[in-house]
Amino acid sequence: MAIFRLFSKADKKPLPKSISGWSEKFKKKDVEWLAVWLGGLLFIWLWLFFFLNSPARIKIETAFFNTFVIAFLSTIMTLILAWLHALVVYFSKRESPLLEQLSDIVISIWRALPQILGLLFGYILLVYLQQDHQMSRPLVLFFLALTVALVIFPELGDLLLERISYFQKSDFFDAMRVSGVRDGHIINYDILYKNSRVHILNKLIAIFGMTFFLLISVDFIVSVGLSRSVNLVNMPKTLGNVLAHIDSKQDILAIGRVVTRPDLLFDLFFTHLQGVSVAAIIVFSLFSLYKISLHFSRRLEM
Amino acid sequence: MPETSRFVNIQIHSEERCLAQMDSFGFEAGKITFLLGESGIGKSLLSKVYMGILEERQLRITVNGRPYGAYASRIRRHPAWHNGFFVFQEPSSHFNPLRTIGEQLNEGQLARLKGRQGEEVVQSFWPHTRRQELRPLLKVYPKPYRPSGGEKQRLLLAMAFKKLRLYQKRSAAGDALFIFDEPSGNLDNVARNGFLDQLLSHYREKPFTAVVITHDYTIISYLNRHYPGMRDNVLWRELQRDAGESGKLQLISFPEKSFTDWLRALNPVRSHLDHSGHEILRLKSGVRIWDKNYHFFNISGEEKDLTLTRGDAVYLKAPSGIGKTTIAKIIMGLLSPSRAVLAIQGKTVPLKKNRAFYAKHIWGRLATMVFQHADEALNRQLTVEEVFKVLSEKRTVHRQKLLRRLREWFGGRTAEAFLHRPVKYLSGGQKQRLNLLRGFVQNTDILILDEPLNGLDLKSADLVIKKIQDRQRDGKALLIISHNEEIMEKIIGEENIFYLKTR
Repeated sequence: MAIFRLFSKADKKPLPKSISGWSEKFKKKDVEWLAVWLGGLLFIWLWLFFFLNSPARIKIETAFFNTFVIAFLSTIMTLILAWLHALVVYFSKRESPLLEQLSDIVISIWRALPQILGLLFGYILLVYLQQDHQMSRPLVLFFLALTVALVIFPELGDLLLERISYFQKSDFFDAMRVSGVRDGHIINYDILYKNSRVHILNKLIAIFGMTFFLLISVDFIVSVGLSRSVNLVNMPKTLGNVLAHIDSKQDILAIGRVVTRPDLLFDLFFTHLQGVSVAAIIVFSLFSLYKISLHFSRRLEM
Repeated sequence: MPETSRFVNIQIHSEERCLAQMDSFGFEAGKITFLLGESGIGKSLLSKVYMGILEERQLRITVNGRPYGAYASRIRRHPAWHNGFFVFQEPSSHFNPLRTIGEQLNEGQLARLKGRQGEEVVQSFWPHTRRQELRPLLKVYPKPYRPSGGEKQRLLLAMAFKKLRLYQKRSAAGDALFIFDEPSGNLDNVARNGFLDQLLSHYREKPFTAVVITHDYTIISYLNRHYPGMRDNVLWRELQRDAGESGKLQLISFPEKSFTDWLRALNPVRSHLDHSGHEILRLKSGVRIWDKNYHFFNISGEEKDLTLTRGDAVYLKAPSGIGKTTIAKIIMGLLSPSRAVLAIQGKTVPLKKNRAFYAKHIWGRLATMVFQHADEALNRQLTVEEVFKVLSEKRTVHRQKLLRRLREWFGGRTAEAFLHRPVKYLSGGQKQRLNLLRGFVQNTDILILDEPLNGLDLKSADLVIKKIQDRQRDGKALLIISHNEEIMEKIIGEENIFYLKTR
């Protein structure tokens, strides 16, 4: 009978293909996407190096550098602010309900401010501060990063508080407490570092992407003139305001023309490079960041 | 008559390591097999693969050298499997939150045993509750807190027994395979015995193949006392690691006598130190928390304060779910009762806003507690060494000293590499020993142990009992919560047994 053949002792045949190919499931697709992203950026840069005039290329390089420095700095600042926020909320909750309510009210008011508005206010403040004397470039970048971090940090703060609250409910928190371990150590080392760093890293990748998007959106809005208080003159070049530049707009319009004149497609990559390449960098970066974040969470089953 | 016994070669690997591999895993058909062995060794995993119900996910499983998927789809159609049932260890995972309990009790084949007969099966697990009183429970949608762990366990057993009745009603010959994974994990001894009685009485009506995965060795004494004539039909097997080949498991016969002899040899101990017998903790009877009043009674039924004295171990008894762990947590300052009088070393302990007091004077200094579920109580991301490092102010550990302690608890051949092993890769039994060792190394005057024998094989349970008694000899006080009544009553004198009741 077939059923008894099934129960026969193991034969020594090699593993079938479906099983030996099992390790495919665990390929690090997030790392692959990081490589694709960096490779793509390198390819665009090489293309610009060969086919775009030098002043325009330098403008894109500067915009790219500024955008990424701001996004990177704001991600780091978000982490610091969110960590401080989580600690303040946790310890105020532990020490007194009044303090807890107070911190809750302050953070709720702060959260009520739309991110994009918060950013615009930051820009206005930056212009106001620069009325009398121009601030140094690194200081401006730092200020912009801080502005972005201030409007974004509650998102990461919530994640940290969720992780703390999750582990607080498990026996492990109490088991460490009764062993004489301080709350600060349990939260910072055992919960946040040992048990949540993957979650935090994943969120930081998402925040990097979000910062990147917010920054470009606001720069674009500011640059096309929706705000009277700030303008391209007193702001550092970013991908957003390069895209809003008249040359880039013409390049983007050229993409539309290709729909009715497909024979112009080839020209697009040689004569309209500034706008097309900036748009490509933005879209490709956002897509790659999304993919990196997605596969990172999938790989770690979050 | 049941079919021939069947044994298969099973190999289970995760991305990082081999989880279980066994040349010949299976159970004798037409017998009731009690499967023992330390927690986490792979009893449930192998049984689920054997039954064809394990989800592969990120595992690589082969059965008899072939892919598991093919085995599972074929085996599930086999009559013995089709007629059988698998009762999961964690009952919550078995219930669908979107259907009422009553609907789930009548799902699929179970619907064939509806009406009075079906109700009788459910009722048999609540012998002291009237049928009308059970009906509201059947209308509940499962939630984490309702039904309770014990209720879920009984409902799951009721499902299995409905299937069993259906098999027994059929006149045709054949077999049915029933696997009960820790069926008494959430039950007190009375309910556990009720389950065993039903299992054996059904078996007498028409035999089937049953496997009971358990850590509860005291089942041996119960069956020996009440079912001596069933010895030929009941098998005791233990899953062990093969000493020679790393990672390989073997299923060996477990001699019942080794447990009964061990149990007979247990005796209470006393400390002969001068300060032994001095009261170190007193919790006045009549603790109030969450609108419940907790009272303590001695063995003669007199209400008494819960007291711990140096050199003594106190056993706190109550049916499951009454609140033994709640009392332990109140003592340790982890819960704030609305009424309680607690004195430690003669000083009254504040019961509200006491975190700073406990942090300064009690936790890890005067008292500590070992929690029930080692898997939850340990930080799974730490290494074995890090579990102990955190206990010292300077976050350092004397490696050789620690290794000596580890060798006492994990065997003399424990290598230094064990220090670097992440907790998540330890077996359930190893985690439980590590959890206990963390409590013991703190050397506090008061040690509270919540279910210290959970998930341990007999050898490890013996070690824990010895450590408890060593601690008593050193003049320390212990409070023990355990459902292993038979063992605890052997090592703790009657005067130190307290019954917890609510009013």
